[in-house]
Amino acid sequence: MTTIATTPRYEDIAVGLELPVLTKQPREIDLFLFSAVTWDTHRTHWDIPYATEKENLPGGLVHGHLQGAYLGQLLTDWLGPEGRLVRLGYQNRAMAIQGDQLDCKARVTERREEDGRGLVVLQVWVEKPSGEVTTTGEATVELPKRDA
Amino acid sequence: MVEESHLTPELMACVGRTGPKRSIDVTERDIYRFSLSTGDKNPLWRDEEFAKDTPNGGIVAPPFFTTTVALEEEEIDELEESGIGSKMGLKMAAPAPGFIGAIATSREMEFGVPIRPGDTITVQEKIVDIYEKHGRLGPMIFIVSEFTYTNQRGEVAVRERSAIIRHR
Repeated sequence: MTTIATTPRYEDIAVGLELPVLTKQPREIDLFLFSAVTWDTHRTHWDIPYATEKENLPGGLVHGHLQGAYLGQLLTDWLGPEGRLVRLGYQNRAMAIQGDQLDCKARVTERREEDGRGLVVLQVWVEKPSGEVTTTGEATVELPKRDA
Repeated sequence: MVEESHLTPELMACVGRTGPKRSIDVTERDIYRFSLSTGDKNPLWRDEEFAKDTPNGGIVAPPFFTTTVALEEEEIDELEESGIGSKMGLKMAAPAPGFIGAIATSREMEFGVPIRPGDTITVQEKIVDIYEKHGRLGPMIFIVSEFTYTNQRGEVAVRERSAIIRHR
């Protein structure tokens, strides 16, 4: 079991801070299991001959929502037990195919207090080693304050 | 050049349509299986001993868990050749003849109360927008839906707005 990080405090977060990168490389079995658990029966994700021959894809298509889930994991790994994900929005911009290395990244773009709560806004994205961004979005998280 | 529109009256009639209300009983095993499928080893979703001493007070579901609730189950022999089923939600059921492809394109989620084992989560889909664009896949039809996931006490767990592209 991975040990979880301690939750950062709101006051310690500076704009520009980059989160530790979460690297994923979904294989055929990752796509198959995510399809099964979400009942996503669409063959583009788990039937490789169908994906390549009928839909002219270079391989199994990584689910947009799986990339979203990876971004969620990137954030909740960092938030630890006391932080809270408030909002996450993203757009799938380019295809990711089985075997692609996907680096999930986030950078703090804003911090603000709202009704006494410490909110931090982050730009989030999924990037291939070539620099191509497959998914991009924005998240808002809530962090506890030092004196809380 | 004026592009031919693929937004038929039948398709546009889907805007405002709501799907069936569905309820799902959440188990610890469902949450565990979802965390396995995404390779998410965070003990907040898996380890009751660890989780009970956190502000959550026990295991909760990871943020994207509702992805397992979004699509309605269907008999395998009722699926299209592509594997797409008529119960994969209103976005997929919207009539777009010839547009055999479907790709998730965007999602916005707002998180409320956590989802816990033992919860009954109810969801209903509503189509809120349909529009067309031309791009690298040729004509693309965007279909946007809203989902609200509530628990057995009526508390909102997740509010979501998501879109797919149907393409040829």
